[in-house]
Amino acid sequence: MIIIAMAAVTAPTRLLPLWLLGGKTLPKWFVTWLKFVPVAVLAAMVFPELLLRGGEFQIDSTNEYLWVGIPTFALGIATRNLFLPIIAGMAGLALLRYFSIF
Amino acid sequence: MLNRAVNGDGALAGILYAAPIVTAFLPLSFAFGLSARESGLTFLQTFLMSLLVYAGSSQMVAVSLIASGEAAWMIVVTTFIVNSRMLLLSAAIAPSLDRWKIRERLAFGYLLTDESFALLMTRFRTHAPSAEFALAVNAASHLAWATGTALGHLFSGLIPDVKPFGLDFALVSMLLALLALQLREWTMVWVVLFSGILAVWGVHAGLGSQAILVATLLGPLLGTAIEFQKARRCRTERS
Repeated sequence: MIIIAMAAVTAPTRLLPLWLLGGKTLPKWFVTWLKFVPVAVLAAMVFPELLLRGGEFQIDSTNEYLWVGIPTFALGIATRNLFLPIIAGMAGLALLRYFSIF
Repeated sequence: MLNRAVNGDGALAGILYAAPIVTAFLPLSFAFGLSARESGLTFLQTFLMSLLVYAGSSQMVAVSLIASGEAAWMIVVTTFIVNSRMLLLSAAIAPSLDRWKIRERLAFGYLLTDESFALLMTRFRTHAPSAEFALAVNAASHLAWATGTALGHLFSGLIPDVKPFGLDFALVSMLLALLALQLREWTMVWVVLFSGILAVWGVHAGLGSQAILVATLLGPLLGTAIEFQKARRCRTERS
């Protein structure tokens, strides 16, 4: 029952804009604003993952996500490839843990 | 013949293009399946949630709320808040799809995720938005999510910890890779720093997903202001 209700509230958030905005010309400021939404949402999701652990700042040598995340991001910038940094990031972290560096 | 199917705008090309999402979704949904079982959800409940709700962060939050015996309406409201950023993403991708049939747009929207959004926005910069291609990307991602969830619930006894394999890093590395791919002008760097720091500050203050939503709303506002300022300076320099 909860699951049906959850589906009922998530579906409209994805469907309504596609339904209503399709085929309309939007004002210029809105189009500019929309252009920045992808990078903003990705940054807003990933920054807390990198800098916080359990809601507290952890900016030191034990923060494995931060120290693996920076080269992962750099690899993405350098290669302009999506697949490579994802695999390299996970493999890199697995290796560092295997050799108990973290 | 095969070469054309792989490089073209069709369903097969879409499925292959979804490979990065599939790679990240399998371990993520596996982890979700594990934690759902630990929280006492049955296989059917867990699987249906991945099939119908299909929203990673909302599902994770919902499972932990169900485990702690939270009221049903609280869970539904939280699901909505966590997932409300999809309103923005859906609105942002809508202009690219204005030639699609309405049923194609709705079928696409139902399976839209942060990841398929970012992947397809990148794709549509250089390619015409093909409905068949985009729907295939979404379908492959959804299938991966449902499969991973099922496997996670079924085999939760076999793998006690995903950490030795680095699988817990799947989401973060995917977000970073998508961000790297999206960055293509200096204004965006300012938006990233602004939204990122705002979100960190908000999450640290205990605002959770609301902080992420606010950062997603305000960051692009800064970008728009910078861009309009630049345009005005260009005009005054010319005159």
